[in-house]
Amino acid sequence: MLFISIPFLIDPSDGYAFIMIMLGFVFTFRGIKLIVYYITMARYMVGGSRVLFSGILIFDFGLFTLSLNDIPPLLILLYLAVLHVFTGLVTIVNAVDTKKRGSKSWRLKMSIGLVNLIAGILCLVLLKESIAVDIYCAGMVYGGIMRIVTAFRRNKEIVIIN
Amino acid sequence: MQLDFHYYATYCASYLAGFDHNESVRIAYFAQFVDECHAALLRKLNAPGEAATTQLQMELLDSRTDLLGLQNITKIWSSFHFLPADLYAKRRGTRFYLNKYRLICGPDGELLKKTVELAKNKDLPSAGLAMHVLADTWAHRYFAGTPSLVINNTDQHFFEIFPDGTQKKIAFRHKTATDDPEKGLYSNSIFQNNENSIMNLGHGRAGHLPDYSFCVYKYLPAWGDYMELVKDNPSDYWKAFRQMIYALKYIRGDIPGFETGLYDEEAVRGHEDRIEAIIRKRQVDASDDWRAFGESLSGERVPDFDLGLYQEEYMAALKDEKAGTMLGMFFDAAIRQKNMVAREIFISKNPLAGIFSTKLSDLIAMSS
Repeated sequence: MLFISIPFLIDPSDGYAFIMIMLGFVFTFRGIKLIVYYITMARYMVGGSRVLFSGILIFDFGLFTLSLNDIPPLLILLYLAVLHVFTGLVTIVNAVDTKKRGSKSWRLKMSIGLVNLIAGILCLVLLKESIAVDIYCAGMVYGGIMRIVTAFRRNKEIVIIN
Repeated sequence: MQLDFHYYATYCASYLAGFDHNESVRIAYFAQFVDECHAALLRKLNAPGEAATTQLQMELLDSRTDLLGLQNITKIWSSFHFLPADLYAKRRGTRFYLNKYRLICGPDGELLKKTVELAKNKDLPSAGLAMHVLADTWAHRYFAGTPSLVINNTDQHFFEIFPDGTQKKIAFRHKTATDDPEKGLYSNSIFQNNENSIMNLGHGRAGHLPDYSFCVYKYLPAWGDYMELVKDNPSDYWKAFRQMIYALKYIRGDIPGFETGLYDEEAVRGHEDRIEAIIRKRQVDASDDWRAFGESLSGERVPDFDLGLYQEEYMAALKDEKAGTMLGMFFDAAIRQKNMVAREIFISKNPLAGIFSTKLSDLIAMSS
């Protein structure tokens, strides 16, 4: 996310194309990975069809994102902002669910979700202003940093085996 | 299973099988030691790392889940806590899926026979280790000792069944707090949709329910094609106890051979009601009851489990004398068991427990 946001900040006009290609490939490969996992393993599992649906949806999303190269930057920013809002909402729902299950890691998830949501809404409100690009990038930078923080955080989840 | 069964119940089984008090304490000690022998302890004792029979939570969370990391985890957990029931089990599925499916733990398998036979004519630590593996095949059945979402996952469909037949849905929480059966509060590991996540190792997704002898529950195992499965712990623990006695009689030399599917009936005669009462009592730790039963059998005091009991002896021994110490014997037994199970898994054309240099005879067996 950090990597994607830098060229976008430096040169927003070319950055649009770059960010769409990167996002498109990430979604496409993630979708393919899930579909392959479904075919080789998850189709034999109780509830495994959810893996297939997620895979198809994400793959479709990836192809759609890759196809958005020739449309006006305003529409691309609109698409990215909506994506940001959607990601924020999903993260907030996850955080609430995590809290309900008694895990302590919900606060971090909630903060990531709220920042994503607010950044997305601000982008939508200020869509025609140049600052919208900066807000979007700030959201991306925050998301990237928080993911790094999460990766290095001591895991407090319980593992029960023996 | 926990200390209550691995230590105190194993003591009772050993005594009923004919071992004297001191021998029974040692067998029970090393049955429990399987849950304590992790890499950090072995480093502290300057003992061989390959003798690890368990992994600490922190070791697991730091483990890699690439192929080599998975092989290390699988070698430990399949060999000592989730002994596979049938390495050649048939069902519809790709090779990737079958490799995991065939590691599902269960009692009375071919590997159990080999485990008990491996402990024959050896020492008390070997017998204790074999009893741990045997007992866990009953408690941990239906779960695999390798991280796998498609095998070990459970979902919301999880009910406890009470002795009067009533059922109550279990809503797991993710806390390290002790379970409270009276309030129906049980913890499990968090759902992770990554196939090889450590959260999907063993029975983590069913919490500690397999460890409670009183518990009867039903759920949908991830591998079960939507068929509801009833896990009757009291029945399984009763069989585990009697099979331990039968196996220990074989190890002692009182019985010429060990066959799966056979359980002792003689030695437990007259004790059935007491044993069943302990098994069915709703409690998360039955140590006191098993201990009282053991002491009533032998008339001796059963000591608390003391992790450091044999450590000084091992550390003080010279290099060539270490194998003769109690811990040295246990480490040898652990390495033998791990190699036997991992080799058998490899011979079944399953690479999840590692790649082994095989003898010509094994290569011929593999190709046929």
